[in-house]
Amino acid sequence: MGLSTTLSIAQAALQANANQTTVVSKNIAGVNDAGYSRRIASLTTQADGIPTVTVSRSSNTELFNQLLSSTSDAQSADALSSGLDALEQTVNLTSSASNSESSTDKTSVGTSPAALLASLTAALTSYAAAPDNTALGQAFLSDAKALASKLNAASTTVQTVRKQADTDIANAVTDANALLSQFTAVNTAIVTGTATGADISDQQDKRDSILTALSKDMGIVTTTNVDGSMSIYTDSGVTLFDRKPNTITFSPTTTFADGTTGNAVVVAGIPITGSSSVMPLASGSIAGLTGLRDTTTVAYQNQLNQIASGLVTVFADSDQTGGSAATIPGLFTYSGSPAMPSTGQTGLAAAITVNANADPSKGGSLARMRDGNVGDPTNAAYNANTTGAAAFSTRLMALGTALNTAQTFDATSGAAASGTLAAYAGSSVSWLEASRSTATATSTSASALVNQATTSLSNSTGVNLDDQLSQMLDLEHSYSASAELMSTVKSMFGSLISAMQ
Amino acid sequence: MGLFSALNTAVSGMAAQASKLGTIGDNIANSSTTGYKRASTEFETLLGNSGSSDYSSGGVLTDVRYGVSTQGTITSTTSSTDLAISGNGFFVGEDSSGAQALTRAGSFTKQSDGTLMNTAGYTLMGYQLPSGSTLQAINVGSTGLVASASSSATLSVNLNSAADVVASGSLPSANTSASTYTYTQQMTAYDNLGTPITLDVYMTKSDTSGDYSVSVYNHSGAASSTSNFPYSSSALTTTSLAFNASTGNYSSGSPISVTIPNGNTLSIDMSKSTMLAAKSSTTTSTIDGSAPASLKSITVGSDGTVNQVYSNGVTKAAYQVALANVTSPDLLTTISGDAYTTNSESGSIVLATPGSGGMGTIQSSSLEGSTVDLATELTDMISAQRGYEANSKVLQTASDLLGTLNNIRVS
Repeated sequence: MGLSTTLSIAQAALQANANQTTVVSKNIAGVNDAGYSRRIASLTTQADGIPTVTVSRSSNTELFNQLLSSTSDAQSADALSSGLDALEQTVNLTSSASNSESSTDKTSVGTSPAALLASLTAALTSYAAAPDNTALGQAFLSDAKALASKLNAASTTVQTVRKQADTDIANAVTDANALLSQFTAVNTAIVTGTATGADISDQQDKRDSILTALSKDMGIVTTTNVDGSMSIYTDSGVTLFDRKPNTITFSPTTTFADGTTGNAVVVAGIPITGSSSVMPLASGSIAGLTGLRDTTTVAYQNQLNQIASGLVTVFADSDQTGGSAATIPGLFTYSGSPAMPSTGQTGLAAAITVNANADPSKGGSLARMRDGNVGDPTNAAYNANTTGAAAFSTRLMALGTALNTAQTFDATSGAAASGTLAAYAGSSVSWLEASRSTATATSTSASALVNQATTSLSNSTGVNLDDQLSQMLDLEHSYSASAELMSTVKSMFGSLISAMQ
Repeated sequence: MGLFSALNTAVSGMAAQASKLGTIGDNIANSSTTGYKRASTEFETLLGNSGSSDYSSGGVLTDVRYGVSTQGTITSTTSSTDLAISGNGFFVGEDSSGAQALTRAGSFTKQSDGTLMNTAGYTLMGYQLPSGSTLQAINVGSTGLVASASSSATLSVNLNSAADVVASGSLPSANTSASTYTYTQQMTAYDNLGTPITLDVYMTKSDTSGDYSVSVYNHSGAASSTSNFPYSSSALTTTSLAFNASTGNYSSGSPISVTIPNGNTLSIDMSKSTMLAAKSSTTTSTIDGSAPASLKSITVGSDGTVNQVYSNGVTKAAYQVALANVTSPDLLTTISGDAYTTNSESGSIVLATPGSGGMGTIQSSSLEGSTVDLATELTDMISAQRGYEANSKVLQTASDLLGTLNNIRVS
């Protein structure tokens, strides 16, 4: 030890100090960057008191993993919630009504199939009371047409939502593939940096931001290997990245109709969505969109089909003479007429129409509704009004009774398993609203969790400006102290040299 | 006798101080030389033939010493091939003529032929890893592209104990379109050419007593991009992995041997796997081997291991730096270039690796500074100057006295 050593220590201290200041300035620059993790410059003293700086990056794996999983959950809930919001336009609830769901009778609001059905029932009752009143007949017919076209439109909306979900899945898959290929470069940089001892904190920031983005598309879990490399799996365990990215494949379906089954998302031959998947994805927007496309919308479409088949059945024309003429679709018919549809037949809601035979604007006659031979006017067996009385109301009364008679519905459709058609339509609206409000609530609480996880992570690994500024002050002081030390050594040498003269 | 001997004594004193000034000059000149060890001049008396009544002055002898074993201050640099020894020992260097010498000047730079040479022209010597025992020049030159075939892997998973049993006809080993599985993992292995081969590892519960059927397929034989089964060729291997049905712990079946096409036999260690009542998941999945990659950089560990780091992040230990020591380092013969050679007094060379056999450790990106402290040298210089002055006064006085004697006859 001696003055020369003192000088070289002071010099190294200045260098270390400068490095620490660089780290502080980097931290301050990253204060508003959500993806930036605080860098920590730690001083280690080597032999002879020479300080060196090593830069590490603050990280909290548990909180980060929590952020990833809550992001995935929020995305899947959000996808479902937005899809249900889109479906909700089929029942056209006003926003004020949807905000006070508990107090409002949903079945009577807006232009839901249930509301139109109620209107149809009322029109039928009025018409049955005065079958000779053409205006009432016309009103009944237009209500029937409104209901049929509502079912058609609702069915179209459902399929549009499915198509949109399918497109969104395709976009998410493209996005995830892009992220995985970006991950390759970052992962290699981290492995190389770890081996050479280089500062890899920027790469780690980048890796975290890629993972966060990927967790929006699909739920992921990661494992870190000893060499610093990371493997990514879906939340169900399917390998997404192991030294090289796996390609996620998905073929979007061009047209969605009732009964169309969308394609599964496949990772290197392993399906991660759909009924054939052994290891199905649990969260992330792909999981949410798949649930929307393959479950929620399909259930709602089934309910619409149940309503449609219920309508066709109620208004079917049967042999009035006690003969053997087959029961055929009457006022409400569809493309498969004269065969009767099965309960909830696929595609029925999209195909249901009001029979042209009853529509004066299409060459039909209102009187056929009264007489009960809408389905086949040429076959006298269906004509209940054999006398041709203008005030014949038996058939219309019977229709009214049938409409208010309990039917059996598909118990798996989500709505009531039995009840009148109106009650079923009402329970369908309730089902949709309940699903939507549950999805919204889940989405809101999941978003809250994401916010909380983000805040916790930021508190744990983010930059605190006060802390950095006080560190800067400390550094300034120690820099001056080191510089002071050098100037003292200089003056000591000066006195030594002047002693020689 | 007396006056003449005083003259001689003064001359020997002046010569000794001059020698001391010489070492001080060397020290100051080398105060920034990497690995320089301070030289010092030690004095010893030389007595004349003194009787009891008269004193016949003798003189002073000098002996130059080098503080070779003194540790210099270690300062950090930015080059990973700048090496400093913290503790005992010397690098073994070889000059262009093939002569070996010891040195602590570790500012090595990579030469065009891949060897590491310090500023004095000594090439760093070491052992080739993994098992070299001949001391040879360390060569970290680029050997072009390097690929290594996979031979060992670890796969630790938890397989859900509540999973359904798959019928034997539907096991992945049956390789039919109806084949199903409990859990699957993909591993990327490398063949002899460094081609990545994706292995589809299927783990399928085959009965309720804790037996799993493990089948490994080459993914390139997958039926289509959307469905792997049936593969175009049969499984690379099918074996069974058994767990203890009551504890869920691994019981037998590991390791699993898979013959990689045009590659090694890959041994997959699955002994850390469990069968617990939790969602099937992967804990660890590692595999060795690498795709062709070029040399990116080299690092030196504290035990002297010279690692070659390739562009894909793979690290390969290539050489180990050898350290040498002698019984008495301070008595080594100093030669130009901060180097030392052995002699009969220093003892013979003992070779060892850093950190073992009493040797110090290597610090990469560091250099050992000169052991010279300027303040000490300057102080010594003052004392040498004053000593020289005093000796010259003795000479002058003796000369004056002799002059007086010579002038007696004149007057």
